[in-house]
Amino acid sequence: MPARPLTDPTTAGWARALLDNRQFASPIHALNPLTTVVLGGAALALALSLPSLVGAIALVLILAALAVAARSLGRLGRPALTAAAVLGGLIWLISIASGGAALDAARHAAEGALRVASIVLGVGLVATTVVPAALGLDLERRGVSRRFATGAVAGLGWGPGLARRLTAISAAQRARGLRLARDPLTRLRQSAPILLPALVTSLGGLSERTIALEARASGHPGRRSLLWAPPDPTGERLLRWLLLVVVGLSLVVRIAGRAG
Amino acid sequence: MLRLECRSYTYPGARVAALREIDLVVPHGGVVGVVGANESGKSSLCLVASGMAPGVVGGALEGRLEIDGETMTGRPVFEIAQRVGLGLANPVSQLSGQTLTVFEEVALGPMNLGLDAARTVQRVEAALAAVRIGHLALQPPTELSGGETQLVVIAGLLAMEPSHLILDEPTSELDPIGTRLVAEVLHELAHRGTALLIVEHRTDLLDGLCDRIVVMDSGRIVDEGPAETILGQPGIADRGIEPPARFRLSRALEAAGGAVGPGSLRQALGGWPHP
Repeated sequence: MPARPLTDPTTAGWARALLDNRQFASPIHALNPLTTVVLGGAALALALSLPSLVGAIALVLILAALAVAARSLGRLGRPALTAAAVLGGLIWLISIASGGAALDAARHAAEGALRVASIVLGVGLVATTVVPAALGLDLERRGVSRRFATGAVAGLGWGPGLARRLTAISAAQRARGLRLARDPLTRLRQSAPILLPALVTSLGGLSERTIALEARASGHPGRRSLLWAPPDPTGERLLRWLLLVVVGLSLVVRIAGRAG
Repeated sequence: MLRLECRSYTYPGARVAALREIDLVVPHGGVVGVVGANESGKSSLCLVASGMAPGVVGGALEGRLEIDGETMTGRPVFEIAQRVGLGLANPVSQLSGQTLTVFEEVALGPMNLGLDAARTVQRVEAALAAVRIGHLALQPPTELSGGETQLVVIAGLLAMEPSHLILDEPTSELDPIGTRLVAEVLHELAHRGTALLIVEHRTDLLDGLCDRIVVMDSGRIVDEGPAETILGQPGIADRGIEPPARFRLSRALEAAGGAVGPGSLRQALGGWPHP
């Protein structure tokens, strides 16, 4: 059941205030969260299905432009480059080792690197610009079950939550004298005093949160009422359909190409 | 009136009962404090009295929970939550993580119940006013102080319009400013007639707030009576309970006789905690 419009003067005032209260870091952050999720999903599907090197280059350029618009290129660029370098290098090594020509090996490596960079940029855009709570509201407004929407919110919020907890515990352990070695294996062994408390506190927090949510009737059957939901302009709806069509066509071309 | 008659409650997988032979009554408008050493069963009492155990936590309860004569035992937790609210110690872990503003966080319960927007807004406004945080309505709940966050949690419970509120160490993770904020609101709620069951180590918070005090030890209620009588007992410290400052000070003054000064008071009070 979609949320009913808030026509009562009091509730309409609050709904307006809740909407106006939102501040966006960029135009990408202001998109309807489902649009960003579809964008990320399309990037993932196109990265795997676009048939040519030119297509892969175009996809990376579009996603890099979106990351610039979202002011996230600084945060996403490094992991994208790292993943691209690692995968590209591996493909190049395997191609050379299996007797391939140097030019072909380079082309395959570049294509693989561009595809993985697209995936990192696409997923990263969703992770850095979608507010989980807004996505949950938007999904529920569209009729998705509360349980699924809550799962989506929890899933998107889990990574940043764990990162915050790890940062806090790392700072506390460093203050107690923990110094992590540069050698990765030693570093991993030394990370136990950080990882274990993070795991234990997250489990304890989960139990308390479950009780706190149950105390507010989270187990109540049926749909819950919504006070507001993110706007969904016609342009964005069209964009989502367009992306789905492009992904569909790309998959068809890819499958037809293989069959041919 | 909330009444818990609990012959025993055992956590899942545990061999020993966490609670035994409990008969607890929290009348409408009454404020009951629960004190006791660590592991005495105070938090288990809160869980069982709020229906969260065995409802959410699991385990085996022999006995029954009644509110206004109606048996709550075995009912769905969301039904019990509309009669009795439970707040825990850590305010941050009680935030839903699903909301962008304090208003929405407080509205979560009524929204979950499927109340229409007008009734939801009405309840939220009343709850925010009751804990005096109306000015925080449009703030992100994750950017508040500990005391403010605990008030958001209490407002979220009040928005469920329960007849009874159970708070398990509501100030134990707060700094003195946060403790003061919460204490003032608890006094206000008690003054308005909200029935409260409060577990607290800080007996100064309970002193003057509670009508009755329940003392727990090894999962049982070992003493119960008017707050003035229980908290003023000379032997209460032997049960792992710090007497309120006014009782310690009065005894310290008595012990110091004529020579009252900071030094003699410190000696008589034992140095820590300070009154």
